[in-house]
Amino acid sequence: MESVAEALMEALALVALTAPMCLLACLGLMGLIGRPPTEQITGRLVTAGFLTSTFAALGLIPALVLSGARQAQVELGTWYAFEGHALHLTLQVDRLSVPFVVLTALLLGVVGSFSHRYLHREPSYGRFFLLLALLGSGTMLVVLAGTADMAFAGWEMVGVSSALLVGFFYERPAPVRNALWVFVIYRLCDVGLFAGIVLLHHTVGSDSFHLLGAGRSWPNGVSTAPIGQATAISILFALAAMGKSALVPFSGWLPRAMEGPTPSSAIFYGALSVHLGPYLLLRAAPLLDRAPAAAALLVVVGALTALHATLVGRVQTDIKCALAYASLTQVGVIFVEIGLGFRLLPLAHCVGHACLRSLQILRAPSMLSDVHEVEAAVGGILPRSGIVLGQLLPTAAQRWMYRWALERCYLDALLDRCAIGPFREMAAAADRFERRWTDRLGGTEVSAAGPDPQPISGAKP
Amino acid sequence: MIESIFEFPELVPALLAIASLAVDRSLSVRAATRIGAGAAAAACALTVGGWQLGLPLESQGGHFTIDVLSRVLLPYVTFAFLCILVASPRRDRDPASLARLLLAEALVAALFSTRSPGLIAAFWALSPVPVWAALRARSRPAAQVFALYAGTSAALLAAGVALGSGGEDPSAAGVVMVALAILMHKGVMPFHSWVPVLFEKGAMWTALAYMLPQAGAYAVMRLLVPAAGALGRGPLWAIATAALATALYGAVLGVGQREAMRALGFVVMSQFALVLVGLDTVTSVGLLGGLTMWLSSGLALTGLGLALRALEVRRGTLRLDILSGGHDRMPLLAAAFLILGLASVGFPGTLGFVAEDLLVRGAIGTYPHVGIGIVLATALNGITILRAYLALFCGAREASSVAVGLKPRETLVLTALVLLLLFTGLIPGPVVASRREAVRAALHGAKLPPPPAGRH
Amino acid sequence: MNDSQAASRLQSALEHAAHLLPAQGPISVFVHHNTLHAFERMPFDTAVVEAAELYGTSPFLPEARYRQELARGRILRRDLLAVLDADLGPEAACQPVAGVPRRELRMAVLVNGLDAPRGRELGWLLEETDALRRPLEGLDAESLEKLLDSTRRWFLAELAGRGPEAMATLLTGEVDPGRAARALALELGIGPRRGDLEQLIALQAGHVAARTLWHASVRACGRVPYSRSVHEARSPRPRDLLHAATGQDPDELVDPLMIRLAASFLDQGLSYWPMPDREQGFWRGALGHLSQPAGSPESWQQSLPGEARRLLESGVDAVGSAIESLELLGVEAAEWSDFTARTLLPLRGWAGMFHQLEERPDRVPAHAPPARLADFLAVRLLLDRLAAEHVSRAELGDGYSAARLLAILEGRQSRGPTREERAFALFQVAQLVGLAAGDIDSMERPELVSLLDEIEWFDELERRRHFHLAYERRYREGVLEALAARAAASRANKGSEKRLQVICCLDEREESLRRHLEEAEPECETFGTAGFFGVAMYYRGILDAFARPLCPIVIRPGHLVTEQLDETLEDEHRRKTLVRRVLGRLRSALAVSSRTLARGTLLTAALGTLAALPLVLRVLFPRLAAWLRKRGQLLTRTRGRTRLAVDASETPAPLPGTRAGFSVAEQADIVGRLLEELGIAGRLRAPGPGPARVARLVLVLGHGSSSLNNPHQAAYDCGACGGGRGGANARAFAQMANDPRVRELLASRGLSLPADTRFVGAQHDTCEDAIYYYDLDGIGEEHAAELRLARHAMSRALAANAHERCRRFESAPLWLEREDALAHVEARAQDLAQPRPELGHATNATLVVGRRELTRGLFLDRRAFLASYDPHHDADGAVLSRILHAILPVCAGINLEYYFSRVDPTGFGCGTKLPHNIVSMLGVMDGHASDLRAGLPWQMVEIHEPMRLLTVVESPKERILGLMGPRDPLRRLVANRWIQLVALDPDTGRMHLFGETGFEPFEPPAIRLARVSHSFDWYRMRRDSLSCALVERRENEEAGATWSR
Repeated sequence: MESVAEALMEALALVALTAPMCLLACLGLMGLIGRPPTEQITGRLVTAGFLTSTFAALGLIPALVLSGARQAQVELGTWYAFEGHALHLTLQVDRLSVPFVVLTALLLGVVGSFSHRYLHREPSYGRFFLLLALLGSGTMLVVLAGTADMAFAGWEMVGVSSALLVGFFYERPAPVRNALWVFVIYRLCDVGLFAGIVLLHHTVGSDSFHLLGAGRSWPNGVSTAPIGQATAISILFALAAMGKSALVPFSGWLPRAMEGPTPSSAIFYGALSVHLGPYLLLRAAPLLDRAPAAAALLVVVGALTALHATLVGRVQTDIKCALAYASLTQVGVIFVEIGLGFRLLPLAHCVGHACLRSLQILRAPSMLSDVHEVEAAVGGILPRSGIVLGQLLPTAAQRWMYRWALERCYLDALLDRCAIGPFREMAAAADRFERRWTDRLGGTEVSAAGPDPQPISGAKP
Repeated sequence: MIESIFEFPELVPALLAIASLAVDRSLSVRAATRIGAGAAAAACALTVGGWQLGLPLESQGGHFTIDVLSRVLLPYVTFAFLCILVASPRRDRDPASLARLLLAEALVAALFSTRSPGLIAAFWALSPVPVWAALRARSRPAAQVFALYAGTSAALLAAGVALGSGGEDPSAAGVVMVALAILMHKGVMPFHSWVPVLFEKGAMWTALAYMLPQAGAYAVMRLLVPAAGALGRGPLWAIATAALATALYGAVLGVGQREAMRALGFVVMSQFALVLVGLDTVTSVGLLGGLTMWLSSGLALTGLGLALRALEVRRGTLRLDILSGGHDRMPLLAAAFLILGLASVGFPGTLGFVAEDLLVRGAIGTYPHVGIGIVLATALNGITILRAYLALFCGAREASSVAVGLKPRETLVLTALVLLLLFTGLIPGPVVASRREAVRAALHGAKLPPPPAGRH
Repeated sequence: MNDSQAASRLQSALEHAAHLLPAQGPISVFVHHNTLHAFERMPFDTAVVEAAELYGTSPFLPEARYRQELARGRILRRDLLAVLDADLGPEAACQPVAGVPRRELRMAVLVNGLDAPRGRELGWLLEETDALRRPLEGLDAESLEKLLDSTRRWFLAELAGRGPEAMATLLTGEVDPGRAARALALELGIGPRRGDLEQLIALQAGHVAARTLWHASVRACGRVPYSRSVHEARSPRPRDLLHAATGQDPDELVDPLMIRLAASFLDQGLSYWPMPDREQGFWRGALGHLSQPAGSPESWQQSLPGEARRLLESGVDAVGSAIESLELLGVEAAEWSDFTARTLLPLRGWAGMFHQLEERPDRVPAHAPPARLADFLAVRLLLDRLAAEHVSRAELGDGYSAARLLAILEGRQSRGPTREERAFALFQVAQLVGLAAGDIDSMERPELVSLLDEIEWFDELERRRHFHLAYERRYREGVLEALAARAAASRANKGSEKRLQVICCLDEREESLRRHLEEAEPECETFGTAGFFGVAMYYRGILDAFARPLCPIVIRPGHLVTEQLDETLEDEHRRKTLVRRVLGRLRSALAVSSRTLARGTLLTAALGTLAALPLVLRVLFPRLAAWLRKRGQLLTRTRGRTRLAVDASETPAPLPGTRAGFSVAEQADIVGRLLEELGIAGRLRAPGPGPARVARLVLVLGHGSSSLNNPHQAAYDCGACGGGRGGANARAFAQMANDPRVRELLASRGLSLPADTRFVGAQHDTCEDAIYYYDLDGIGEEHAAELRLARHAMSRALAANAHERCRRFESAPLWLEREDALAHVEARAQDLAQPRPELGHATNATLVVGRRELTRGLFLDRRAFLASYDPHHDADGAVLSRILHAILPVCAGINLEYYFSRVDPTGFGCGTKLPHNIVSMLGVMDGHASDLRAGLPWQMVEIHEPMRLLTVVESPKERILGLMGPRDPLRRLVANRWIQLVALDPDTGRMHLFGETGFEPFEPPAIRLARVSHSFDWYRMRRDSLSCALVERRENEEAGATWSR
């Protein structure tokens, strides 16, 4: 009985992972050879892919319960191997991954179905589902990964699909600018993840999550890594998680990411993408247990984020940003929970929050009719609700705080001024130097820039 | 009959050289293209499947050999040149340019088929000539800059070889000279300033023809790695450090650029420097990573360069500080640009990811911080790529009704490159396996001292 | 200029600018209006082009789109020819240019189109493609033959006369023979030998023709310099100059801050924390906000807090500060007006909303902020000033100075197209009309000038204008032909007594319902009128939170009508209201607390997972979810007898400026006027036994639309009710008309309704195709048969209507069964993911004012507003004047808003719905910080055919002319041809079309209308717009027999 359950579990995990990937391959290849599928066929492929994944994911729950074991590793073989360095493909099925797999598959299915109708006749319909499949594959890879390397691969896929979906409406400049901003933050924070993995290899000698917890099932894993290294790795992982989950000081990208179509906002910033940070940290829980300093950092950053987001969220005047900051508030709280050493609580919190928030974001366009309905029920204008934090403060402080909240605590401006600006200056200075040098070598014409900048006229009336 | 004239290793360079002469004589663009493409395709076919002809793989006197290393490098180089030849726009395919391109290919093929230090030095000195000639036709000052570096590099290498590098008993001075020559040839800091000039002022093919074979890496494998046993890791370590600095410096400069061609130059410089980082770690995994990166970033950046050139002939100067639009008019070009760009910076699912992974793992065995440097450089290059994609293809729709989509030959090459990179990225086993012997052979020849204290 | 002069000058500048801003109010009271209302004083063709230039938008559809329509027969060649003739006049049309009649030249260009590649793109086209290697694709055989033949003859003659080297120069464009020979070899692989060249012309005549023609065109354009002036913008903003000079855009700095400030100032309750000090107005509120210490670290804002504090302390008002800013920016007083407009236009949505709320604070949903456009301008100018200074310092190293920037830009002005760009146009045109290189070369200079002038004048915009006129013409001819045929038939056929009459809204969506009603029940007659039925009122139902106005937007109603519950139900109602209130509060509390810190944590962690259930249900099973929701509502909503308090009562109305209910006299006025407009009064007054007078049962049918996921929902409701639902008006009207006191009063005015006539109010949901009848319990046995008949006919008509609507939804299969159509439209209404719950007014194109006989049975494809009017009972035109003044601006407003939103979906419309984000509960933005988007979303307009409203009035043309006074707004619409007006004489059937010189006779060809026995037979398996047909049931045929296939 148990062996059957285990075999079943392996098969189901494999199906849950590969279904979105097959979908991605199908849509991608058809596009690449110049025969993009019609809307109807795309719809069918998407439904088939995500449904398969959902059923497989749902099947994992009884399989995990029946098998009696609290975890299982699904060995898929070796991707490539060389002199003792091998990249093994292993899936980790346990009490952490299964809830996330179910959540991912379910939300992908729901959002896929929603978008099929919502994006009907949109010229970029095919591109949207290609990116959604990329997101699905990436997320599944992260949550099912048995090794940190695999998780990194998925992590990158999520990052690219997210940036491209922010820039989905590429005709307007704002989405394009914001897509680049999102990608820059992601990319720089991802350095943390890769560096963490490198260090993990160096310290533990393996990047298997299973071995990280000394083979014990989640959340009872115990690590034997030295405290110094464990702290360093945890902090690097935390950096990656902070980027992906838009924690302070990277929060500025979250409202910018609201440029995409509503369903993509729902699935990325309400549900899956922002919760990958907590997932990673939960995965690395054995290390965190040995790294109190890193845990303290999580508590501090999480608490700051929660306060920041709740303050900023209070003054947002558009529904998508209000929900984005509401989302961020909870993500901050989840980080605090993780930092405080809870394991099952943040897991439940993630799942619950993802469901609720994605429902709310999908309903965002119906907001006016919802408000009218509630007003009719209550029999009057809804009072301004929520205790205004500022009311406890003196008036001058209130004004000051309102300005700070409205400007989103200047996080983007600060990042720009303190990190990106100097960097840009440095690059520009180096470039000037380069040009002077080649000019000296070859005569003045070498680095003479192209024709004068001729900005595109008529972009704005 | 053929046997009496050529051994197999000489066959490909000779074929290309003859084709180059024929192309030079041909009158029209069409005829030149036909001959050139035929020769390049034949060269590619020979290097891929020519082993079956039964010709000796080593020429008389042992000057030319096809060994485990060149067995993969030759198909790579001939394929990349074939891509360049086929996908270049018509304005780059006049008989003179094509003749130079084929000559450059012939010289590279000859270089990659020899182990003899003297011949390496000779081909090393000759290979910039056609590129220089083509560059000179477009911009004399740029050609002058290029000639300064290429000439110095040729002289240094010749001197180094004369002092015994690559032989049984290398002298320290010789090795240093060889190392300097390699640094100049690969555009490693501080000898890199010609790279952006080459990309900005030359036609795309000149830059690619000179950079993509990565003759410098070849020289490392042939002249320096064998010397590691005798002289220790010092010189290699120095090169690796310089290369890592170059990778970071190029990445930083690339991010800040306003012109696409110059930015591509810096990305190429940065990514190709990573190959040297891998080779110079002289650990088996690092070497393997370097060799794989050699192929993956070479192919991806060749494709990226061709895509940029295709865009440039349609649009003129490509700028990164404004949004140019055009995604809907050239969807395939945009998609190919993005995929090739991501492949060149190691996006999962492409061969670049495998290469980067191996490279980092090889590096951390000996020097953990190198790994982090590599990751940072590719992260920055990734930003440059996405920024270029957004700036070049996104933005308001253009009103023009002219169909500017890819021509069939461009489509063919770009699609082939994309599929190749994706396929090898998903199933990297064969590629990795094919490089394994080269690595073993190299390490065997190196008679290495043990690596510095690491955990492995 | 002293202060007060300056202030009044600025005020008038503001007024001028305000006209140019979108006139869209808060989105929940969406009202359609002409997007270019400010330009109505100009003729349509000029106005759209001028406006397009001002706003940076597009006045017509893209040229390629029109050409597609030409290819599929939506535009015919003869339409284009007719437009060309009308434009040129018959003589000019035949006048030759370069030997080709002007008309043919233009026609060739229209049909084939010209590519206009610029710069490098042209280079690419010439170098890398076959553009010079073969003649144009799609060239007709005749021109091709002419071109090749002419080339061949010229080539051989030249070859004999000038020698091979000279030919090489002609073929390659190189002047130097040596280089030409090399280029020839490079391109063609041949040397300049006579034999080679003879062979070349023999074998590759097309290649030679194209190549030589191109070089000849370049030579020709070198001979004639470009003469058309290059347009330059007036009163450029600092942003325009800086952007042109440095590539940096100061608006990118200013806009986000401006948007945040405006949104939080106007917010209607979306944020928890309202903007402090907003009761002081935007100017002082924003200054207080911006003057906070420790402001933004952004470098351009460094001096902002100080500057804001200075202004705040100096007490200067918005106008004063705006003047100061204008002076600091160096704007001449004469330019203030244009400059102000240009300053407001980049964020015209927000500026427009400030203006709207300043003008009509009563339309604000919740909290009216003291909005003033001057405040907005002052803040904008302040920020513009600082940003310009910053950008100028950063990029040019010195403070902002317009003069210096203009000097920098002096040398960079665009000089019009290059020689090659012009030559490429000539190259294509020459091929189209069969001119070869020799013909061009031998042309005299004046001839060449006129040819180039002709080509350059007939540019893309001009071609699109021509296409547009032809596009309108094709539709117009089709409808008028059909109407002429129908009119002839209807004069022969007098109506008969009807058992059921239905008064509908004139809305074009009711056209199909009316047709299906009459198809289902021949004993039924329908009328159309503005859907508030003359009852202008504030209305509050028992389930409503507030009273809302239900009448056209131009009227401010003076009466309040409330719905009142039967006494027996009061207890239940009180109970249910309590439950509802508690549930509502709970729901809003949950929504709020899920977004807060502490409560949100508890809620999401503990209960969040439960949200998966509604998530899955509402997205995957929308109909099931809707059914469950309706079940749930039964518990909280009182159902049962209610009545409207229509009668004037003593109690004062709670709304200021209104009275509760209507007096009996007022009610009689309302009823009498409507009956008069519909023509029923005339019939009743007519002596003798007239045929169809008034039926025993008259259904008054208002309409509304219900849908989810639709911020623009109000735009789908009844326009005549100001974006509300017209059921209450219908119900009130029926109640008035049934009132014996009213009837008595009417009878005393000579209008006696039969005692057995009964009015019933109802509401049609145009999205779900459902109907709700009001006050049926008041109907006695004596009308039971009619009521049964009405309900039966109505339910069949609704199903047929739903089915007909489904053909336009691509997501409904064409082979959808009639039974499934209702389910399909219901599902659309209840689907959270559905961006097109219904198609709204899309495809509207016609307005017919006249008797129903004129249109009865005519398949008008849901594109016609149908207003009832009987020309025989209105000799003095008073009724017609009332009708036209009431409905024409409304219908033209709808039509023109659709027109502009369709021709430029992102410039005039608000783009695709997908990234829309509700902001401040006033409108939508794209993403998180964009302008407030006015206009209609793409999903509403995509199937619309943008054409001016074709208005057919059944009346002598003199009567129409007589009712438009000199300062009448209608006159502007008609005389400037923002609508196409046709007078159809009721007696003779003659038609007159209003053209540039007034009414001109129009003779549609007599046609035989296509005849089908059921609408279904006409539209089955077809998605596109359909032409007119006559739906007439043949004898002995069972209604709907075609259904039971």
